[in-house]
Amino acid sequence: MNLYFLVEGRQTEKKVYQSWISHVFSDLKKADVIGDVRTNNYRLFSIEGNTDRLDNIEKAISEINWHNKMAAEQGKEPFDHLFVCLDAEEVDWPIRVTQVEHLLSNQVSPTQSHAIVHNCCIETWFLGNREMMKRNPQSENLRVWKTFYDVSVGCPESMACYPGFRVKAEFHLEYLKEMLRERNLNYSKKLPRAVQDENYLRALVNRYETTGHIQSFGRLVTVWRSLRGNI
Amino acid sequence: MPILSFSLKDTVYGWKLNEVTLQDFNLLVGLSGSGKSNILRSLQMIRTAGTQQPGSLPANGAEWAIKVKTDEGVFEWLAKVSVSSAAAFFQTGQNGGRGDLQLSDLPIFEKEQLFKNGKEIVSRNEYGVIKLEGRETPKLRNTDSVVSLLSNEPLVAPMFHFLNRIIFSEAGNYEQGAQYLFVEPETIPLPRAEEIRAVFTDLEQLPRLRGFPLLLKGYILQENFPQVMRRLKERYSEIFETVTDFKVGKIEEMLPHPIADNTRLSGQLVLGIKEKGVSDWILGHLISAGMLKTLIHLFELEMMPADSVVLVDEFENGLGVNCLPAVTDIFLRHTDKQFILTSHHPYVINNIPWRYWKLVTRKGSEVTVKEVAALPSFDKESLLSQFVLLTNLDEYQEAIQ
Repeated sequence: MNLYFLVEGRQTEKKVYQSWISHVFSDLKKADVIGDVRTNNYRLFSIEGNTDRLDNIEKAISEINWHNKMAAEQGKEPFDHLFVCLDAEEVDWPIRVTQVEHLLSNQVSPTQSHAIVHNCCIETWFLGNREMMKRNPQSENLRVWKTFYDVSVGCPESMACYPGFRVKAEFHLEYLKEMLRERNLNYSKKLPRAVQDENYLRALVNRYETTGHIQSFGRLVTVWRSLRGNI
Repeated sequence: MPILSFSLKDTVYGWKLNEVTLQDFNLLVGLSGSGKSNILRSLQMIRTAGTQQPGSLPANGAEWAIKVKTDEGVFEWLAKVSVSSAAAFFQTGQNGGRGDLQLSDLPIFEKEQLFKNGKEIVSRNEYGVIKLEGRETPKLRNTDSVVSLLSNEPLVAPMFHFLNRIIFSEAGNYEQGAQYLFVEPETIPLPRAEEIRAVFTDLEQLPRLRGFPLLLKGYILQENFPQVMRRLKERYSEIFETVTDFKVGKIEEMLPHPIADNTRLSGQLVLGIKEKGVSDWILGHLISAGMLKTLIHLFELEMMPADSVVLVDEFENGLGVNCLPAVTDIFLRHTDKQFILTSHHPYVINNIPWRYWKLVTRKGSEVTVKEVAALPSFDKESLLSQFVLLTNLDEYQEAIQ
């Protein structure tokens, strides 16, 4: 089985997805060069900064189509699945999902495509780990934010922007940092080590399964399970 | 306490800005030559006219209206300044100050009005008669604005203090910033730095450090406010993950090899950063421009008073793509300040939500600023990146006519 991931974000998404793939599909090996893709490989690219996401998606589709065509001639396996993972940001989640699904539909046959849209950002998913929230946080900020919205009780995806923050994703990021700091874990966009851990991933899966929260993450779990991933 | 709106007509430059409404965060976007930088310069001009910086020229040939919100209420200041040809020459010439100008060369305030909550509190008519709440004041200099002349009047003071908090970022030109790296012994020797440090013991005093060399600010923070310094270090390490520490210290302590006691370097303060895998401190001028500029931004924002209005022209200058989004985030996080930034850079534009964008357009010499979010052709839900959406707008492509 060969997988293709296009993830949007600075460095967090690339690091986290790579780690999670290694936990869930331990037999998959990352291929840095398209020619190295044979069996049980995956490719992962991060779309960052000034490049345009549509342009990148189209290029990924072209690469997949080209590989699939060549694979048939060279006795390699085609890409079985394409995952496009991006943030809903401030667009309604269903709208963003529909847009990406529409864009991907029928473009990469026989590769199946999946739109994974973080609602609103990937840190929103990470807020779903209930084990990380202390009952009585020491941090003044976290105490205030927990009163505003307790992510260990309510679904993190439903948490609005705290007054004083200009961007909702910024608030989710800061909330996560404070929550993890209480557990002596550092989190930053560049160094998201804490959430790369397998146990962290399992805790999020548990949250989804027991409460139905973080639905946008649940979509990923469902697809990965259908691929017999260890999740 | 933001600037709510302002407009300006500059007779000397033949430039007119139609009334622009501002939010607490504003990213001015538009083609080169559309007038973005001029908008910031206009605000600087108004600030100078209201606060009368030493040696500065009044706003020669300018006419403006600015509305601001303060704790004491909404103030609106309207002013018209005469044109002085001599001042115009010096303003555009090599001499930036008013030093070579005769008093008679200076432009004068021809007309002014100051309103508080819609009620006129100060007026100056074409004969130079100034009235404060209807009562005529003694004859005052017509080369200075009523806001600066009457700044001690409790009624006028909030406007004066507001204008003082309009701050043009020092990091706008990182090369200038680099000059602040070293404190020359003859300017601020270490004992002098210690004297200054002894005065700044209260966090409330930090804004008064503005204008001091970066190095001195860093030294005072490090010695007197370690908790603030720790926060800055954390933020800095988030942006540059290889940086493990920074420190301001005597050069003798920071260099790996001894220096002769009698050199001019002896006893001088120097800024150093520590990087993973590098055993020695990387000192002052050897720090990369982007790293330095990021540091200047961090220090500046930390030390500005809350309620400052921060102006940054070409925000991206000197910043590499590895730090642009992170520095943009730092700006977005300072929600106690109003920001007016200009940028062309996709990394900046993509990281600032479109609801803060203001498109600057120019028709001849008349500049109009439009809310991008309000343009019917702007598709807020498109999958295209924000930058692509912006640059494809007809209004953007035809911003200069």
